[in-house]
Amino acid sequence: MTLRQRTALIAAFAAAALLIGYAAFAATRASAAGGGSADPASRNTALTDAAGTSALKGAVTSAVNAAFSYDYAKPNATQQAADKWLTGRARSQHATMFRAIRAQGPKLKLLLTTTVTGAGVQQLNGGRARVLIYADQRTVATPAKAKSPQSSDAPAAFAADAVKTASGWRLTTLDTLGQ
Amino acid sequence: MTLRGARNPLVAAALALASRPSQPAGASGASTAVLPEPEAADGDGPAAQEPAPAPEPAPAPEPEPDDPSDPPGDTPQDTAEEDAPAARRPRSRLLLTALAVLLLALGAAVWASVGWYRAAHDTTAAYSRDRDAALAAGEQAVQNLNTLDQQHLAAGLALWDSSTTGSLHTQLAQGRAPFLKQVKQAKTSTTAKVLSAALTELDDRAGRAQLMVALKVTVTAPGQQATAKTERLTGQLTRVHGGRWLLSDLGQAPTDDGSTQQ
Repeated sequence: MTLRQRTALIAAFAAAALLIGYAAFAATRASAAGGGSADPASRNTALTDAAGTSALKGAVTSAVNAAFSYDYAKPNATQQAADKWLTGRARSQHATMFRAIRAQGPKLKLLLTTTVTGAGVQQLNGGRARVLIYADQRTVATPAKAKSPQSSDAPAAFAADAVKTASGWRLTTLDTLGQ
Repeated sequence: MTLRGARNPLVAAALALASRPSQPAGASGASTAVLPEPEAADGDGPAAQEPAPAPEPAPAPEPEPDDPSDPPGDTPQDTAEEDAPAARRPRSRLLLTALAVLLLALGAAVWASVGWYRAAHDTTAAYSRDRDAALAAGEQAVQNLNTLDQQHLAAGLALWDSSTTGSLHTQLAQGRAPFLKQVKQAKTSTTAKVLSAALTELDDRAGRAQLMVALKVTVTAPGQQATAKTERLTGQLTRVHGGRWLLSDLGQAPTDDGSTQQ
């Protein structure tokens, strides 16, 4: 092996070693900078996907307003809304919540109006999401003996898990935050 | 997902590009330090040293067809190099190995650079990190502002100061004296637990964010039973010098009719 060849050989391996060292360094910098599908922060597209976040908030607001309101004059509307907007565990949770209301409704002429006043998307991962919801619940009752309707307002804060189906977002679980 | 998809073609392209100069090296020589050597050996081989003309036609056409007809892959070159000359010149195999290692290293460097560049310029990832940082800072600040231990009033209020900025900071500072008097008289201590929180808006350029925090606040006073209450709060975060997010506004979430009920 000539001196030229040896020099060339050493130069090639040295250059390769430097390049590999640089590549390793760049790879660490890349993973430190985050991004890509491996980064948990990036997988959650709450707010980063503005349109998706907005659509989710809209759907959850409609779902809660409809499924958690009750009018003794049309009790089926509540059930229809629940059938439309709720799935899985949220269905049974809803049934439990409305059992007493359904029983008392006609007698007390109950009107329960739920209005979502704030919604914040905590998680949005493709077809799964979690939303924090503030809602006001106004109950108006007119018992037979009462001369005028009695109303009460209750502020509520709860979280809802949602899943995206072929026909849009549906609530799967209601979390009352341990209250 | 997108990264991985883009990387493979890039590496392939880099390797394809890189392997191209290595082929003329066997035939015509090139500017790289490694390359002239096999060329010189090639030139010596057929002309002076080799008596047998039979093996020569094989290596001779080899450099030619790879330009017009052969795809620029490295396999035809490798096999051709090893056919006849490799037996004679084992050191050229070493040089080729060195070249291959160099090319692989070059490919790795290109690949890593692309990944680095993308990660550094991924605004969505940066926005996601800002979101998570702002939310975490907001939760902590709200908890701080709803916590005050009768035994450590000064420390608690110092934490209020360091958790807030802007108008909220001013408000708290202005109301400090009467508030302290009141708390000392009532001997109340307050603890808070964040039940759930979310950002509802984030402007990472302006350094502003809106958040909502559902909070369980427990107030204790000597001789009395502790009272717990769920608060529905909304607040504003402002990013200050140094990149920290501080609370600049905090209040009860507005109710249906627009009033801020308490």
